[in-house]
Amino acid sequence: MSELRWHPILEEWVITATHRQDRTFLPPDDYCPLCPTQPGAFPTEIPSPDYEIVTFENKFPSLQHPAPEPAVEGSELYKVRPADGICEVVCYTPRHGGTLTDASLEEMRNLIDVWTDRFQELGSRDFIDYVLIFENKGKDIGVTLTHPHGQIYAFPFIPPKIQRELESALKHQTRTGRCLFCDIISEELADARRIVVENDSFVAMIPFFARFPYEVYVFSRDHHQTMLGFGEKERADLAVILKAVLLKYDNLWGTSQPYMMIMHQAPTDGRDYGYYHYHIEFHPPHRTQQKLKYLAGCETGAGSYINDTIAEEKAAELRAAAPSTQESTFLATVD
Amino acid sequence: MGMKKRKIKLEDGRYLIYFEFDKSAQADASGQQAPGAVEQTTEKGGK
Repeated sequence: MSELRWHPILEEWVITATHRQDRTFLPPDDYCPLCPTQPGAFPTEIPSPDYEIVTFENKFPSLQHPAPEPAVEGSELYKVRPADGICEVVCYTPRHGGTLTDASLEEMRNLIDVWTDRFQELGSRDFIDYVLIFENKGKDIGVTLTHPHGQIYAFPFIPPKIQRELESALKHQTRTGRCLFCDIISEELADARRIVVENDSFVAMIPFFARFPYEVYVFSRDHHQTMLGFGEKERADLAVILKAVLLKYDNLWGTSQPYMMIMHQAPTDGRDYGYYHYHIEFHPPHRTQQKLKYLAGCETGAGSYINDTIAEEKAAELRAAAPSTQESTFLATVD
Repeated sequence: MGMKKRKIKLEDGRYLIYFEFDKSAQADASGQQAPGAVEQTTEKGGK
């Protein structure tokens, strides 16, 4: 069963997708469904014996097109609608081991082209209002497949967190005439204590208002609403800063850092969101190497986050982890 | 950047897209838009 159920208290859609209970869960390495299919071996999701980057429709989608009719009857209070949309898997590499951190700059740059392509194509569908590109990495996040991959959800509505960001940005623009996110970037650059790494086109920071200890935001310096506005230089610089942030995470404790990486872009519903600003958010669940930050009673129950750390100190830790901004610039020239 | 798409239909009806990259274009360090068509394999909706 799959449908959208309206939450009348929070005024947001909840996706039900009961078939996902049966999805593949941490299979042995030699039965990975995201590896290429080798001759004589079991058939994976990808029929070719090799690939560079591949995307495909999720076998266990939360949203699908065409969507089945809701299995329950709605009411005025309890609205239901089909869970119409598209869920894609993006396999970053045919190599089973490793993570996105291990991607070369060239591979990262290629991935940025793929993300841009999928954003444009999925966003152009008339039933899609929002395209969310994201990656859940690590068992601490709850990944069910360890092969390096990300996901794309193309929603038939604007997800609530994005909607809230849009409303904040519009209010700020109306009040000041300026972009909320550009003002955040300016204030962070002026202060400098929370900057993690930067290059010509992007700035990575743990912002003043971070809710997770090592929560990094990557902002484009120029005011873009989506990746579609990026030129060649910005795409190359995005590859470098992503690689730098991922390396810093892994070098922080010498471990492969789990995270949720979420790309925030303007909706694709055809309206003008000129006041919005492209950025990527990283939400690693660890507050120390050994301890996780749980979304417990206050966060889950009240929506109010408690950060046990301060951004200035955590940003300094990440800034000190290799590579530095200078080393990241060097990375770009030698890869 | 040269990138091509090859879209196939899986046995269960889902689509899968292989992305293939032009190595010679990547070796071009000029920073200019490299030649190479993106094969349009799916129709665009009008919005």
